[in-house]
Amino acid sequence: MDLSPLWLSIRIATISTIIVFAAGTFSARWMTRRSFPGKQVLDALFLLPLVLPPTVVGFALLYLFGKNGWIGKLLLEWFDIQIVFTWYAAVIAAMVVSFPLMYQSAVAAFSKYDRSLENAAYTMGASRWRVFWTISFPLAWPGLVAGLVLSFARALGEFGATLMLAGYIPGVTDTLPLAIYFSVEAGNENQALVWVIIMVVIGFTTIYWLNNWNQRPWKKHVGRKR
Amino acid sequence: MLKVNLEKNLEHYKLDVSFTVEEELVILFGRSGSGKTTLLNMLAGLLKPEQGEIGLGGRMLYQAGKVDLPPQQRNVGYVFQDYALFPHVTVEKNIYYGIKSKQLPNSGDHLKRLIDIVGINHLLSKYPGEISGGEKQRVALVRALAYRPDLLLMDEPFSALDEKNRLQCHEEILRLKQEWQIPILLVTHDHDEASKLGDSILYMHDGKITQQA
Repeated sequence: MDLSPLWLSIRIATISTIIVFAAGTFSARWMTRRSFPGKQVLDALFLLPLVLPPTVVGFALLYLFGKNGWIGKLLLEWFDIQIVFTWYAAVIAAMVVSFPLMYQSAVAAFSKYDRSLENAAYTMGASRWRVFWTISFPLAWPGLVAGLVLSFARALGEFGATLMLAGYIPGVTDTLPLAIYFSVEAGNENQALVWVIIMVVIGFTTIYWLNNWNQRPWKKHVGRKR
Repeated sequence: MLKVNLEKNLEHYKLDVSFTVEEELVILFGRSGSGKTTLLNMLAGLLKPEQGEIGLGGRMLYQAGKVDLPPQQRNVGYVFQDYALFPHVTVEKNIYYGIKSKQLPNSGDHLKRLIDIVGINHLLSKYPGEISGGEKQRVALVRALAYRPDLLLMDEPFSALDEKNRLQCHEEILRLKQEWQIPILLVTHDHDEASKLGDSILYMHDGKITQQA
């Protein structure tokens, strides 16, 4: 049996999650500590992929990254890189749909603890960078991990936007969800069933682990406000 | 010496204060919402005033439109109302947080003495979540003094303590004041506490100092 869809899915979801974790963490920290005109609009934009059908996201991405799209055109002319119908496209699609989950978890995590903890560190002479790594990040860590796991699961299960931007090319862009759909369409239900079972196991493990993670004993120091 | 002359428009009133503090303990006394914490935050550099200046021992911490040192460069010790101890690290790491590694050789003895005076040696390896309110208060005090600040700010530091602990902490503050010889500003709305601890008392109401005793 060809396991390539599984490895491809894991590779795409892992790369997407690493980028989304960094982007979601920093943007959430920035948004929870700043106020500026248009903040609500930006916040809504960050969360938009959560409520839009993935096909709409896929259409918008095609518009940006297609051969004649704003970014797609530049990438093609300057670097001779084509995004559409490659596994990069699947990474981009996964990133966009999973970003809101990371962002939302991170915003909640950075809002949960007392701001005076950061202020105390500033008065003690710590730079912004040091405060972030020694105070904000460790205190937000449980929430950040929750976001990380959720966005990984979401990236792994991405179908609509991936299909629109990356297409279904066996061996190149056939992620698990796409492989399931096209196996069923080709009448190969046994093959589809194997993929379905793998997806369910990964999904279940994710949620189960996450629930346990939230009750781990070391959190008693972090979970308290002071 | 601390010289303060500040203005800031707040939601319900304008904060407008002017006072000086020598190497003494001055009480900021007033009801909740009278601008006491706002004033401390401006002195610490956590909040920006609109007008005026803050001078501390020959240094200008703030001068409207010209100087505005960030909190990191003010060298001000701040004991927050809820202590703001970092919950994820031990008491020892809390205390040493403000000391840069190159200062450590010089600060070691001073800190050990401070820890002895306040009597928190047995707490060093514990987490803030494992110690009592009175102990937290002492740790917060040591942490704020660890890096030898030029000014100490304390925002209702005893409000969460029971009577016995409060009296003990009063004694400690009076003792440290003698030893330290820096300006100390302490916020309270307890009248007995104010008259017991303060060399002088600034009464605040709606952002103004209405009386000085």
